[in-house]
Amino acid sequence: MTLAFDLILCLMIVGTAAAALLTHNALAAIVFFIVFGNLLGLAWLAMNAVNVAMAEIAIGAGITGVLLILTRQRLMALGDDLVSAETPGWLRAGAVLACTGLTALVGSAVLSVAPADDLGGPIAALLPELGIENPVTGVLLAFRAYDTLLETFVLLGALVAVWSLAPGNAWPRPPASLNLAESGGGSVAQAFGRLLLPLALVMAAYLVWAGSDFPGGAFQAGTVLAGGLIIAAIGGAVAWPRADNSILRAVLVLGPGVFLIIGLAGIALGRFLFYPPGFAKAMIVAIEYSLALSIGATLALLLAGRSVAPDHRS
Amino acid sequence: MTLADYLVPALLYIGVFFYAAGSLGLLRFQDAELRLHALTKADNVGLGFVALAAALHWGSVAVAFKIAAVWLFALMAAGATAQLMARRAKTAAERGTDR
Amino acid sequence: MDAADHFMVAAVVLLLTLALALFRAWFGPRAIDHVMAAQLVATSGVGVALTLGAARDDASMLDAALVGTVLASVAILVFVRDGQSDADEPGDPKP
Repeated sequence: MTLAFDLILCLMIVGTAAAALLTHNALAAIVFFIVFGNLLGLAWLAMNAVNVAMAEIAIGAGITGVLLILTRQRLMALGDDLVSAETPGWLRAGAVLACTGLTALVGSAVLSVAPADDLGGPIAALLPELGIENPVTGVLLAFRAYDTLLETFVLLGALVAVWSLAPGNAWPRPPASLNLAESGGGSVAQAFGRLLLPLALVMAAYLVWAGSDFPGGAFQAGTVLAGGLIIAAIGGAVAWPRADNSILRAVLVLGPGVFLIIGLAGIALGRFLFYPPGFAKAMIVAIEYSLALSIGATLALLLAGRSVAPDHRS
Repeated sequence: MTLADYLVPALLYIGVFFYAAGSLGLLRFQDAELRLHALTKADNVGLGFVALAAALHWGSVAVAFKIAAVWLFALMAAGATAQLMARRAKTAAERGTDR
Repeated sequence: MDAADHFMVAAVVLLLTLALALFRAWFGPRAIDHVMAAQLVATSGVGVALTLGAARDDASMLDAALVGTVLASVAILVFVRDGQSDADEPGDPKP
C-alpha cells in the first residue's frame, strides 16, 4: 500500500509540475504551483521527514503561493494582461535537454549513496550534549548554525531590497493596506482576522517550543505568524506600521541580532557560535524564539510590499 | 474483533466517501456557487469522520485534542473563506470581469 | 488487515480524490474555480496527513496539517481581496 501511495504521489507531482508549465492561464499556473508544493509536502510526510514537510507546506506552497497571487493582482491592476510571448521551439528543446541532464546527474548521485551511509548515527551521538532531541534543529542551530545565521540576514536583506523600491515621496510611509475592497465581506474577514491572529501566535509559540524535540522550528513558526498577520491585515484588525517605526525595526532585527550576539559571545569561550556546555538548549531556544518573531514580521512585510505615497487611494 | 476494530475502518471509509463526493461535486456541478457547496460542506464532513476515526485509533487523549483542534480550525477557515469566495464570485459576475 | 493498513488505503483513495480536483484546476472557466480547486487540495492534504499520521503513529504530522490549513486560508483571503487599490501609484513608470 505504501508503494501504491508513493507511486501515485510521484505521478501527481510530475503531472502538476507539467500542468503548471503548460497552461496558458496565469492563475491556473499559480494554483498548480501551490498544489505542487502541497504534494511535495505530502511526499516529505510519506518519507517521515515532517520538519521538511512543514517547511515545504508553509513556505514553498504557502508563502510563495500568496506572493504569486499578490503579484498577479498587482500586475493586473497596473494593466498587464499576463499573457507571455510564445517561447521559441529551440528554447523549449534546450530547456528539456538541460532539465533531463540535470535530473540524470542528481539521480545518479543520490542513488550512488549507500542507504546505510547517512548522518543519522553521528548526529544522534552528538545530540544528548545539546539537550535537544530533534536532529534537524540540532543541525540547523548547532552544527551548521553559521548557515542559518546567514540565511536570516539574507531574509532581512530581501526586505530592505523591497523597501528600496519605494518612490521618493512615499518613503517611509506604510505599505498599501491589504483591506478587502468591497465592504460586503468586511465583517467576515475582520472577524476571521481577529480570531486567527491569537491562534496563529499560540501556534507559532508552540511550533518553536516543539521544535526542540519534535518537528517544528523557527522558520515554520515564523511563517505561521506571518500568515496570521496577513489575515489580520486583510481583515483590517492590524495596520501596517511606518517603515521608520522603531519598534518595528527592533522586531525585524531582533532575530538576526540575537543570533549574531550569541555567536560573537561564543568567541570569548572558544570560537564563533560556540554554545557553553549545559546552556546549549537555552541558547538555541532563545535564538529560535527571536528568529520566529523576526521571520514572521519580515515575511509579512515582504508580502505587504513597498511604501505608498500619501495620495494613493486605498 | 471488538467494536472499535469495526468502528474505526467504518468511520474512516465514510469519511473517504464524503471526500470523494466533495471532489466529484467540484468536478461535476454546473455552477461555481454550487461547487462551493460541495467543496466546503462535503470535504469538512469527510474530514470530521476521518478525524474521528484517527482519534479513536490513536487512543491518546492529548492527540485526540490535537485532532479536534485540526478539525475545528479547518471548519473555521472553510466557513470564512466560503463566505468570502461566494461574495467574490458574485461581484466578479456582476462586474463582468474575471479576476 | 489491521487498522494501520486501513489508514494507508484511505490515504491512497484520498490522494486519488485530490487528483480529481486537478481537472477543475485545469479547466475551471472562472477564476474562482481555480482557487476552489486549490482549497480542495489543501483540505484533502489535511486528510492525507491525518491518515498518514494515524498509519505511522506520528502525531507531528498533525502539526503539519495545521500549518497547511493556516497557509491555505491565507492564500484564499489574499485572492479574494479585490486588488483594484493596487493601481495608479504616483511615481510608477507606465508600462
